[in-house]
Amino acid sequence: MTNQEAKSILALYRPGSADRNDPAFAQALALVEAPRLPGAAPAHSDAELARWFQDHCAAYLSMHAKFLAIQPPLAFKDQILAEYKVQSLPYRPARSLMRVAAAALAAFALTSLISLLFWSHLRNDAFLAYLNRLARTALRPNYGMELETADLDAVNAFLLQRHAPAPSGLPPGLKSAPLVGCAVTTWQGKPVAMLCFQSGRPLGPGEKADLWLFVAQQETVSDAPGGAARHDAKVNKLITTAWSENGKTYVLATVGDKGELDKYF
Amino acid sequence: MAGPTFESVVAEFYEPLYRFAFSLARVEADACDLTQQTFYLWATNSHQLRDPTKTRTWLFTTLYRAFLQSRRRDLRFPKQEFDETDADMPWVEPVTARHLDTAQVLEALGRVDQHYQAAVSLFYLEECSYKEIALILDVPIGTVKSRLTRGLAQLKRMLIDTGPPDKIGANQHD
Repeated sequence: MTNQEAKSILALYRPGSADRNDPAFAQALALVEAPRLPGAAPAHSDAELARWFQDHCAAYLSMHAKFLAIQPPLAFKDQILAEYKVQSLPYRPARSLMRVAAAALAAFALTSLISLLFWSHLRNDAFLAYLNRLARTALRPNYGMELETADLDAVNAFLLQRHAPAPSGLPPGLKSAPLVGCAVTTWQGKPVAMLCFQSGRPLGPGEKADLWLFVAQQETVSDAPGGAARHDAKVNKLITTAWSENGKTYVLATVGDKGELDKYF
Repeated sequence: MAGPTFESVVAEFYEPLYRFAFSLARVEADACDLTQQTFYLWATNSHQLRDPTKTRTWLFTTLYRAFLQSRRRDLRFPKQEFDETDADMPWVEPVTARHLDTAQVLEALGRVDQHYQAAVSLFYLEECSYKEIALILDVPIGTVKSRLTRGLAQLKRMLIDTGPPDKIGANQHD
C-alpha cells in the first residue's frame, strides 16, 4: 500500500471510535503506526504520512467537538416524555390492571376519584404538549409559509391539496384580520393547518404574521377541548385559546395576554 | 426478552438524535420536531423491531427519513440521482476549523450539497459505524464513503471561505 492509498483510506478514519476495529482501516493503520527499527532513520515518506495522520486526527477531533457542542433545549427530554405519557397508557395493561385490582380492594369510590384525577392530569399534560408544539412552530424565527396569500379560498384549496384540515369557519373578529398565508405542520404524524394573520400591531423585523389559527382533526388531538367552549392557556410568550367544532379542534394564538384574543370572538 | 423501555431509549438517544437533527435542519424548532416525531414513531412502531441492538439504527434512520420528507415538502427539492461511483474523487486533506464555532461549521455544512450533508454529520457525530451509516442512508458502504469524501472536500472549501485557515494541517508544516 502506498502512502497515498493509505491517506485515502485514513481520511475517513475517526480516531477514538470503533473505526479502530474496522477491518477496512486495519492495513492503513498498521502502516502509519508501524514501529521503526531501532536506529533506523525514518523514510521521508513515512514521516510525511505520520505527520499527515497526526494532522488528520487533530482536525477530526476538533470538528467532532463542534458537533458535540450542539445541545438540545433545556428540559427537552421531559417534553418528549410528556408527549408520550398519554399514548403509552394503552400499552401497559398489566400495570393498569394491578392498579385497578389494588384500588378495588381498598375502596371503589376512592379508586374512581383517583382515576378521575389521574386521567385529568394526563390529558392536561398531553394537550399542553400539543400547545407547546404549536407555540414553538409559531415563534420559530424562520418558519416558512408554504403559501402566501390573502385569499382564504386559496388557503382552503391548498390545505385540501395537502390533506390538512381547513377551518369550517372563522371566529367573527378573525374574518376582518388580514390573512397572509398558511403552512402545514404535523402533530404525531397527522397534519395540522396553520393559518397566519396579522393582528394590526407592529410586526418585528422579518415577521410576516403575529396571529395564528391552528386547525386539526379533533381525533388528532384526542384530549382537546370537547366542545365550543373556549379554553385559554398561556404557552411560552403566546396566549392561546382552544375549542372544538364540527370534528375539528382550533387553537388561536398570539403574543400577549387574554385580551388580545377576546376581540376576535 | 423485553425490549428497552421508552424512557430508557429517550434517555440514551435524545441528545445524539437532536444533534443529528440540528446538524441537518439547523433550526432548533425543526430539530425538536424531528426528534419528537422520531420518538413518537418509536413509541408506536418499536414493537416491529425484533432486535433491540438495532434501536440506534432504527432511530437515526427514522429521523433521517422524516427530515427528507419534510425537506421535500417544504422546499420542493427534486430528488436527484448522482453517479456516486465516479472515478475522479476529490482528494481530502484534513478539514480544519479550530478558529470557527459550531454555528459557523453548521452554516458551512448547510452549503454542502444536500446529498452529502447527512453522511458528513454522521461522520462527525461519531454515533454510528460505517455499516450503520449505510443502513441509515440506505446506500452501500462504498457510496457512504464516496459521499463522505466529496462532502468533506466541499466542507473544507466552505470552511476556508468562512474564515482564515487554521493552524492545523498543511499550513502548520509549510
